Amino acid sequence: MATTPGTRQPWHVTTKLVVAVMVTLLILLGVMLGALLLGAPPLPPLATALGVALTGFVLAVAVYVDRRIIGPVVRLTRAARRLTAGNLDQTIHVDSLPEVNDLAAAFNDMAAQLREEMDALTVERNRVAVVLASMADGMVIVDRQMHVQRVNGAACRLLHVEEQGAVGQTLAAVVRDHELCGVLQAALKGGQPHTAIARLAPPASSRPGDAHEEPRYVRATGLPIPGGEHAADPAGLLVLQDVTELRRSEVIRREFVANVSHELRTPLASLKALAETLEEGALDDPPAAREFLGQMHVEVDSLAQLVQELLDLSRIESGQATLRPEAVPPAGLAMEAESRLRMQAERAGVVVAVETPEALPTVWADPLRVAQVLINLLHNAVKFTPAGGRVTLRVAPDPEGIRFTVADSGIGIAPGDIARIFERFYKVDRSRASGGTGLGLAIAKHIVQAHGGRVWAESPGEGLGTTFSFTLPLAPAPVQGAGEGGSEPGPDKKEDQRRVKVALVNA
Amino acid sequence: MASYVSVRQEFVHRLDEVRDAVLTLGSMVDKAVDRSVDALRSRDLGLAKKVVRDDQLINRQRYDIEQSALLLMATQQPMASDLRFLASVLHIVTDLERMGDHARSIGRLTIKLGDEPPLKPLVDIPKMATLCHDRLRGALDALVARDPELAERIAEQDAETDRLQDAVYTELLGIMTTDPSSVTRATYLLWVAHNLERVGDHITNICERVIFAVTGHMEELNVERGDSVSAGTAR
Repeated sequence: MATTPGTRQPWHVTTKLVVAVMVTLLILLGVMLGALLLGAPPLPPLATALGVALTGFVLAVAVYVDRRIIGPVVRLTRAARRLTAGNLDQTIHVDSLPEVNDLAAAFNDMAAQLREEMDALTVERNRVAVVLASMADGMVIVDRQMHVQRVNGAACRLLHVEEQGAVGQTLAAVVRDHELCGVLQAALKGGQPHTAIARLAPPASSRPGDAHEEPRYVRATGLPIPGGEHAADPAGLLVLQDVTELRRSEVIRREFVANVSHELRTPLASLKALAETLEEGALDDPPAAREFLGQMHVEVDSLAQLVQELLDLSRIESGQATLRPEAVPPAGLAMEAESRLRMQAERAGVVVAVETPEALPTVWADPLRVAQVLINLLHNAVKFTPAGGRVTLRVAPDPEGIRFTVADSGIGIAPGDIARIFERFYKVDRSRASGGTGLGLAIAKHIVQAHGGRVWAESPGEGLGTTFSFTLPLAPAPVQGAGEGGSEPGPDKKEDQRRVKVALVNA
Repeated sequence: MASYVSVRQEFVHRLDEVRDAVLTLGSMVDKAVDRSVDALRSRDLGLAKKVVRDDQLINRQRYDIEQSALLLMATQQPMASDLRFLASVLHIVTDLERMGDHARSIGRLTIKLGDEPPLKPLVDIPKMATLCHDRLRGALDALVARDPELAERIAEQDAETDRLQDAVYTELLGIMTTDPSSVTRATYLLWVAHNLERVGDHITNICERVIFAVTGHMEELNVERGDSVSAGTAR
């Protein structure tokens, strides 16, 4: 047999079979011719018949072998090749010798097993991909040559890169922050986790030279991934936790403590100085003594005011303060606040104007608390407006209810300070903030939020005036006899107290 | 054949390592410049001292990169764009190291200003620093992406740095003429602005080198900038 099991193409097999048969026939013919030429007596018919029969037998065996063995083996070989190429849907049915049938069955089992394992792997891979994508922390996985293998969405957002552009690049080219890269390098070198807090470089601004957005802080942890010897095996993991908010609240807390101590210390120091002066002989000078006592009163009052405001703030913030909301005409609130500030404004040489339309729906508010807010805003406006300036208090309808606006022509606020102006003790410029505890705006913000309203500040820039606005919700239904508790519709009031409570907790 | 491929791969890997080391140096310098101006603005003397101290690390990183670039040149006989890349790296690290020196100078000036009351709120100087950060990032992006057009765009933005420096110069000169007590502080701030302007110039140089590494053409970019302000001041 000239055929071999390793033949790749079936026509090869057939060709070789035909050649084999021809060669057999030729040998037979040659032998017969040779015998004739040598003068041997012609073969008896039996021998000729035997020769023909032998040829036919060889041909039959060849066809049998081709059909039953070579063909199936070739098909198996092709199926195995397709399997290697990644096409796992391979089942093969053969009708051959028992050994070959066994081989085919084993092949089918193997293919089925492979399919199952690949499916399990795909499910697992999808699960890992989903977990990585939905994680709040950023993750970067690198191989042994520090090329990025995977990077999740959170990491892309923190590092301002695109996943497609990052995968395959070196870590240094993707991260561009030697301190962050250093965290992972230290972890890989030391063989154990390494952590550091890092300030991320802000992304380049859209126009050159424009101010950057606030830098973000991350807690970066580098973790070595054990095992793996090839260059393409994962070697390390960089986890990025955004701690910007945490840091900010930490800074606010620290500043708050520092500010409270500072605000308490200043009046206490003057009180001590005044008391000492009295002790050292000023008592014997009654007019001077009286003046000192007056000053001590002022200091004690400012201390008391500070403590009162701190208590107010903490009560409102913790949701303990209860509002007593009722239906109030907004114009009345504005007028009253203006009249209480008029004296002070005249002394400062500032004109305060109230602009309010004729008819406005009533608001649902605690008049005492809202008066506190309005007076605080007007007081600030007058304080930061030079003589000859103008303060306008506008009341107008708003999609969210009624909007109160206090606009001044004063010193304005820098854009960087606008966002922080409602923080406790935040003063734009300590030297200019004549008096005041620095708590007024924080309290105002919490009161407005407790009512379910919004408060914000706008300023075109330093020296260009400031506008404070806040909204209050409208009173629920037409209410008869506003103010005196008895005549109010019961269920409505309950409903609103609940809402106010919720707002208090949220604040 | 197979051995050539692996030798080539090894060489490409070494080139990538050199490039990454340059990016590391770039990040160190970027942070140094950023921190120096941050320290000046927030009067954080501790941060200023750190910037001055860390300049040594920048210098060391620069020498390390020079060493590996020279070693590659000597042992691998790089050709064409690889050779241009390595030659450019030698220049780029010099520029980066100088930028680090300017950050150190700003740190020293901040320490000298110390507790003196601030002359004025800083506006244009932080803007210059922001511009430097953006441009350095862009120049290194151009190096990574081998993008000569980006490098050219970044180089052109140097005019904005010069404009800002002129604005600082005019403003500080005005303050000095009206208030003689401000002369010392104003002079220090002038020096800060000058240092930032030089940082900008070095970024332009880096862009030139990136273009050379990619295209093989060496051209001086942004030559028309006015040097009136920086004339007479030492480098």
